Amino acid sequence: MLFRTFDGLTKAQRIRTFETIWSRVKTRHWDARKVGANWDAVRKVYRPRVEKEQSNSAFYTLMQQMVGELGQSHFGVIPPEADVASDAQNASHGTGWHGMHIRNVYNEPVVVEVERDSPAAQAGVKAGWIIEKVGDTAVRDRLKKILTLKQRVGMTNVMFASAAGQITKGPIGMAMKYTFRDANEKLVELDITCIQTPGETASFGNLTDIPTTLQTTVIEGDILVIRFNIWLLTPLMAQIREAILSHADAKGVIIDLRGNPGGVGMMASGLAGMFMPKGKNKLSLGDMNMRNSQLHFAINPQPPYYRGPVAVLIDEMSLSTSEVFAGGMQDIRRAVIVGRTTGGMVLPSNIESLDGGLKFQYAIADFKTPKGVLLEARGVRPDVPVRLSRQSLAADQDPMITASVKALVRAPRW
Amino acid sequence: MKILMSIALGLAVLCGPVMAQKPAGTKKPAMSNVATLKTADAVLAASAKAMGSAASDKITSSVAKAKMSIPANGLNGEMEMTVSKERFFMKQSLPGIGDILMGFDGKSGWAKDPINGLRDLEGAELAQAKDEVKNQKASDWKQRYKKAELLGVRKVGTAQAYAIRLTPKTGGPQTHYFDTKTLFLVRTDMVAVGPTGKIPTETYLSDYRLLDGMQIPFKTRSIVSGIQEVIITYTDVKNNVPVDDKLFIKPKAEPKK
Repeated sequence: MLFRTFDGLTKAQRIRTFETIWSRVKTRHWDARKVGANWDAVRKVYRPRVEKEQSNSAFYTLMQQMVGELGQSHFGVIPPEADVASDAQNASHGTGWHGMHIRNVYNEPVVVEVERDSPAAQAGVKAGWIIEKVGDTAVRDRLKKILTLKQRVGMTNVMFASAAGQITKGPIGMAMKYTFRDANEKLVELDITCIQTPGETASFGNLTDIPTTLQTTVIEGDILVIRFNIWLLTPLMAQIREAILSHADAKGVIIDLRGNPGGVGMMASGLAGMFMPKGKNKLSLGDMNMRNSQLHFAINPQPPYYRGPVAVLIDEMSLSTSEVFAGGMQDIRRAVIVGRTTGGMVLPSNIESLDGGLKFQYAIADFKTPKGVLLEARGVRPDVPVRLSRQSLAADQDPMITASVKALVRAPRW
Repeated sequence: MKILMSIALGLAVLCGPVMAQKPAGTKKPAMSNVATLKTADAVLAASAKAMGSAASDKITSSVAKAKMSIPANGLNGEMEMTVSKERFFMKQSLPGIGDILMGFDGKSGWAKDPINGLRDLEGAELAQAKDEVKNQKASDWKQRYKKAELLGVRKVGTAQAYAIRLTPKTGGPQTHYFDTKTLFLVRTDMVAVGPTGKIPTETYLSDYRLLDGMQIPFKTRSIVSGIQEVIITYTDVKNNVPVDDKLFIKPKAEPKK
């Protein structure tokens, strides 16, 4: 079952929840002017309506409508029955890593990439296949229910890919039967034994034991491809710096941010600095505006001052810091951006649990690129879009890398 | 030791992740009506005396060690600072970030951290370093500030404090709060300058201890940008110890391979 059952709220709980939601916006929204007298007026309108509501579903709709008055993304009421992430976690068979990346391709859960030497690659999984089942779990059917949620496309794609990643996880060290539909529409059953997620584990304060991976490959003779799974300073920053330093004469660099969900924001500025010529100052990736201050993503040029062409590869699961980096590099014309539009989840936001399993998400800052583009909800739109299809994936197991190599020709050189 | 506060705070924003932060909660101090000193000059002079500022003339160097934490992120690390003859060196080490170094050799300043690499301090950041490394006796405020105004008496925590707005010769205004009983500096409001821009900062100073004739705050708690709390607890402070002059000099850049 996709949706969980949940307890109802009493009238007193609904009123308390309303007051919490309203006051969080009032006190923590980054733009005090936006939540001044207007927001006080919103309270006067909605409080009496909350007192009259008899059902939870009507209450949730009302709360969504209230935060919708802001006209901004990252403000949302998530009813317990829509908690797909929790459901996906509950439905997974384990915590193991298989090495497949599954995305929404024309409303189907399609394997868009199989990592080299991964359990899925060793079992023979190919890009372009649809995942049907893991064990007895009908993965495809579950995921397709996400497509029925009424929300923006970017958010749906993020939820779809996240849930696909969760549901398909298998137990570590124990073979499970995975069922696919191949390029010829034939069902293929394969035993895949998931392994521990590879990589050195790292911690950053409350984020503990996060697996970090950095893959560097040289393709087409002399193009360096750098892929890392999360923006964590230690150990990745030094490793990335070392990789670029040791390929300082590469004829092109591709930063592959597919599936990278973000992390330490200012690390984006540090990486950008490695692609700036010495002495070049006064550039930034953008600004994050909070209620009392502004965080400037200043770029400090630093070794190896790489001046060759740079491509940044993105997809719908390139989020947060990945979007800051891609959006900023695009605006200052330092890189050509290739792939699929990012998820548009850039803002720092809190997700607070309220009574009855209700969750309230609210942003506490905004982020704008150097050209003033608000990336939240919009995402970074690639200069070179790559339309994936099962056919293109079957023909070229990684068409996005192929597109990135071609795009380097038109990438700026500094 | 004020340099140790405002410059150290840049770290909080430098390493701020693009993730949710729980606001630490800041508020304007409440007004109070207890006051015996009537001018800013009188408060600053009395505070300088109470804090033993005169003894600072005999200090040629200070070396301090501290523990620092950013509770919202669960970050805990260490700091070391050396100040001597209007020069300084600071090293902050935080797990998950690495070492953040900053130095000022009397003329030029530099910083080195895992994000920005090695860089020169320029503009407002350099001016801040120059300004803060000077011997800071409250009674000599006219050397650094062009104006000092007594705003009144305000509540800072449980204490009553004189609030004085100081307008520096360069940079934006600051407000300093002095406990009406002890005359110790208990709070500062200022806008610090770091690599990420201007950082509004409230700092609360406490746990004063007498050292070589001066009152030193062994604990500072800062609210950075209204949302991030940074706590620095000094574990060891020594004055007039030998200092290696090389410490303040900008390190060499990494060679291109």
